[in-house]
Amino acid sequence: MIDRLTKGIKTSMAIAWFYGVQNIRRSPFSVVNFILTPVSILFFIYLFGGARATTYGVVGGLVSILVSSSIIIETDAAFIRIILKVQDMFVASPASAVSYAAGLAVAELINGIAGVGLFIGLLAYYHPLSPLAVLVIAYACTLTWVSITGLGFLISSFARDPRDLWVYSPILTVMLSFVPPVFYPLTTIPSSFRLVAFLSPTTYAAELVRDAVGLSNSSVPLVSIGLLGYSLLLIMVAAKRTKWMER
Amino acid sequence: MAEAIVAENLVKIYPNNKKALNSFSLTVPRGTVYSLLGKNGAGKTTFTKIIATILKPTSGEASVFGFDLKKQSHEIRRRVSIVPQESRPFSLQTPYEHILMFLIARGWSLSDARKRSREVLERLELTEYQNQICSTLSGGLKQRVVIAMASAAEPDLLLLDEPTIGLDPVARLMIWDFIRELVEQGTTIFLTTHYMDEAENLSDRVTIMDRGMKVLEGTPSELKRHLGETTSVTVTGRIGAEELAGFGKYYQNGSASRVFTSESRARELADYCMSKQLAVTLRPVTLEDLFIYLLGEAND
Repeated sequence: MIDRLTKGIKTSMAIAWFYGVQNIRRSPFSVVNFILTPVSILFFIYLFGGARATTYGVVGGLVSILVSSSIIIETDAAFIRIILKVQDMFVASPASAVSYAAGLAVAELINGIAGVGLFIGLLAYYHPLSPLAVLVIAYACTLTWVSITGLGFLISSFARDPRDLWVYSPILTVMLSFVPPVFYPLTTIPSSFRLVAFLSPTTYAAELVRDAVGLSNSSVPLVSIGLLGYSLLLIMVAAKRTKWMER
Repeated sequence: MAEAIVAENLVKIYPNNKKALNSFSLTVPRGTVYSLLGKNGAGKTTFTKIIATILKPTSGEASVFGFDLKKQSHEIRRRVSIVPQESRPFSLQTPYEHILMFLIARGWSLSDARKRSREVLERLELTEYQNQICSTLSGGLKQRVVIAMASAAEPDLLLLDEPTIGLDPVARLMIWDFIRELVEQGTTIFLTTHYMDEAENLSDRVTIMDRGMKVLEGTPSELKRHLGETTSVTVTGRIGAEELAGFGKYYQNGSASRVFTSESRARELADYCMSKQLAVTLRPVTLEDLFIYLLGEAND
């Protein structure tokens, strides 16, 4: 068991180094690509919304960077499977589907990590973070990454061509980052519709981060369990439905 | 000792109801080069993917080195490696990084992977390109990178699905040498190719398949004998079927004709063609002739 786990981690790290670190070394602008949109939105919130709105904007920026740098796995996984056909080489090897997917997920996160760091830094600037707050934020970020990556990998399975997916990434980023209460407070939504907002995993994540910096009064344990449940559900569906072998 | 591949009555029907394999059986001995030939869509890639555990068969049985394909795929995956058809390396990574990453992902230690990566790069004459990102390499070099990745892992069975497409003749010969070297070291090679000279030069045994079924199997010499003639005559220019019919089995496609006949009849045909100012070439029959005869619907 431990041996399998160690080998799995080694496989994931090799893929993450290859596809994440080397990509960023040779194409550093991919970092800017992920930062640009949330920073632009934050800039306008800062200009027209004042300090309190800016803190909401920072929370939104943090979650949206995690979404955009995780959901991108849908196009990359499809590209590697359909165009490069390198996924087949991994299938016909001792590497497991989980370690392969985890490696790609870490590689994608490497592209977004600078943005995540920037927004956590801004969050700390606007609201000093207690150790508990740091833990809650880390928990929310990790599960957002896990759940959105699972969703992205699942969607990639249904692509016949990566072009099928190019349109989905921006749509999903908007649907997960801008439609639900990520950049704005949950309380803006009329109370009878608030439950609908929890159909998006990013609502849980944003609420948790807002809780951590005192911008929300949601129950941290309840929202934490909700996010965990949502992430497990997405991962289970992805594990069951994702195309590793061909059919 | 178990054979490298034993497949019995494999059937594959894709979700769109296309039947790619129809009760296909095959035995590949260890330590040999085995080639699978067939027209596009014959089922070669489907079979290769099934053996590589990439694709599940609809029915039938198969084993690799005695391990059952359905129940022991994890054991098979430790022993095989594949160069998928039309596979390509990543753009922003170097050949060295490709091999290193793939070896570590397969469970090699970093130091062994480093050493082995350099060995394979040198063997496939990629050392001078080892630190160039792959987007700057030619198509042939990119293909060599994928072959290097798959073979570096020292698999017991290397599945090569049309590996030399896009390679220049010199590079192709180098890959042939490399394949022979791997076989000498004990690797079994399973090859699909459209280059008949490749199959003829490399293979210990060959199967020709069509529409998911086996048409013929044997050594290249046995297969050529199946044609029943020794000489192949290629005629370029307009010549009637009735003129060719008297000389032997023939195949016509537009202005190109090929006749399979005895050496003496071939010389008579050559004289006849020369008298009609038609270009003509004579040579001993090859696997390509048999392929055309079997699958190109030649006339007797």
